[in-house]
Amino acid sequence: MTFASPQPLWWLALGLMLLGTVSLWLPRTWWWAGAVMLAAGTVADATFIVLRAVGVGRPPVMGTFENTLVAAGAIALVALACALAGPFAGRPQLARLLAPWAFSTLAYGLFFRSQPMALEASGRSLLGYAHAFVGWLDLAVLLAATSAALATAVAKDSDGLWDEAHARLLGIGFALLTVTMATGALLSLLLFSEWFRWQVVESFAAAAWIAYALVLHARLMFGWRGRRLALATLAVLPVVIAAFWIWSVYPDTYHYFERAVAMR
Amino acid sequence: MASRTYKKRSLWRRLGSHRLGQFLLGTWLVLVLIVLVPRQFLATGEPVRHFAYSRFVVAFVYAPLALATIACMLQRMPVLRRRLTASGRQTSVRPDEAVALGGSFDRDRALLTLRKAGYRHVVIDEAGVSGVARRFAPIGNLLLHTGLLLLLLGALLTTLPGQTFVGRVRIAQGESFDGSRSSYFESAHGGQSPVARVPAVTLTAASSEVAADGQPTSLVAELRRGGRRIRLDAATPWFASLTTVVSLEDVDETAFVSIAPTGGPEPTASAEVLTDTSRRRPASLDFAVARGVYHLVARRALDAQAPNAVVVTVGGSTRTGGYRLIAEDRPLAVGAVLRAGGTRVRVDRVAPVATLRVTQSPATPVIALAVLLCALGPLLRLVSPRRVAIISPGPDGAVVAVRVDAYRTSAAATRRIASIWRDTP
Repeated sequence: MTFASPQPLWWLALGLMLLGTVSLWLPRTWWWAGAVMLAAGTVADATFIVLRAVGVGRPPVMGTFENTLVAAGAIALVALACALAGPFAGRPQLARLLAPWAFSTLAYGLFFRSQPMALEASGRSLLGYAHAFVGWLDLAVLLAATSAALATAVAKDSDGLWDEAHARLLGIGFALLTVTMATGALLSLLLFSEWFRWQVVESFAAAAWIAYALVLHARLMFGWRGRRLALATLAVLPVVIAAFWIWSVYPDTYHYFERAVAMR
Repeated sequence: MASRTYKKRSLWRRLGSHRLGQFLLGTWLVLVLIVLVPRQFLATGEPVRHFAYSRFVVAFVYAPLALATIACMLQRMPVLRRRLTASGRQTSVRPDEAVALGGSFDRDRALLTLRKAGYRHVVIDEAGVSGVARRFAPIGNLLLHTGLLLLLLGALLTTLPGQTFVGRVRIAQGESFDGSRSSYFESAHGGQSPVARVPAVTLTAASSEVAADGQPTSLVAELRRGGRRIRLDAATPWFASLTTVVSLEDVDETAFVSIAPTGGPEPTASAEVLTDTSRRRPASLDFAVARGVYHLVARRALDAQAPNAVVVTVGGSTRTGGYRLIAEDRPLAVGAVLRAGGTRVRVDRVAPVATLRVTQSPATPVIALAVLLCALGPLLRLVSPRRVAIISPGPDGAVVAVRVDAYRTSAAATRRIASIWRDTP
């Protein structure tokens, strides 16, 4: 099996995620069809990831294309989890807002080389894999929190469900961001003998962490709720997107992986 | 006197206020976004790092934030203690959060149900029966903030002059390294910092695998200290002590080449010529032998039949100051001798050579603990949030309400209590 270009399985995952995203907006009795299509897209994405990992002999952590695969899968999983559990269990509202992120993240991979790249020596570590996977899960949860915040800010939230979902996801996202940064700091020590290198990714991550700490303190200590808290969370979104994706376009950082050569 | 005590208390309260904490966190955020991030795009690396740990930032952001965090933590210790030992009655539950259990309210049954469900500190009063589960979860906040304090302390230690040492050493297979100052070919340290103390170790093996563009895809080295083997790879350093980390940066090969005039004593000059095989670039050295100056370029032979062969090109200076080529691209096996232009060149041996980076910083153990606490604290809150349950009499019989930390209600916890209630006589 060759991995020279996006395979039919990848296109299938992209198509199913697009159909799922659109179908989730169908009337009440039909949104399940969207959830099923999104789930099928996630399975196709996961299968592609497993096949590729087996083919190249390492987890998919090298290059923007591979990372979009994992990130899109994580976002789709969190979207499905939001439709099955939590304040919106059995309802599509949160999944509707989150699913477009999964599709667009997977589509973002189209702009990058899909050919598998050789993993650098410094990348071969369990801690590095854990850092990457916890990071993408964290991005998915933070996007879910942001989606809930968007709904809180623009929709009528009479029963407080959006606010509750927003608060829960914000707490989980902050905890995961802390774990992501902690594993990253440990990895940085092992690789470069430095805990924090203040490169562009680390700086944006630090900014996002401080910003979410501010938002959480505002909720817990100053009683911010509803629209005000939602607007604060929405304001952090550009920083989060920059922290998680700037390395894919800005080469002057260790996190830039596009330079590595294709596997022989 | 009373007024002075009041003022002191007021200052102390202000130092530990949430407002000041938020303001300082906001200042830090603005500093990162307005100053540090733009600098990343103009000049990466050291300038940004220097600014992040500059005295200005330490004095006006980190230190006040650390003091405010300490004051805030100390002022809220009694709150934490109360929460750890609190009964469920201290948390109010809104009536609309209550779920009917079925059957009439019975105190003994409610008590038994909550105990079976794992709730402790069960209290019976006129409002009903309440209990707390996972009461140690609030410690997660304490751990996170202690971790933040240690991070700030680590940043402070990093900025202290004469405390941090970074040195690079290159040792060939079979050679030893004892951490003496002369063994480092490159070092950077603030002020009069001592050289990192590393126990004497010998490099017993080293190897690398390289991709087509020369990027190493695998680096492995083995050190021996007495009878103990220490394995290093690119992501697995050796912690020589709590404050000293030895990392493997690169593995190359070194050809030990000697050069002498033909018929002269042997050897007149010899040196290690680093043949940077992983990057496929030749390395060169100038030798002064007797009255002549010779220039030698050595590279690894790309010959599968003779993997250890070194290709040498030798040139020398002429009497008029020009350059004359003595031998060009001559493959030499280990031990073989090249005689040309009145010189004798011999490759004595080819050995792998490891480049090690030695870093010594008192901040290392402090930040290690900080990172651990920062990760553990939120995880503790996330995995095991504190729950308060109240079973009380409602208009149509017993009702239960469960409140989970930072959230509103917990359907799963409520369902579990309802299930135990049904099974409890």
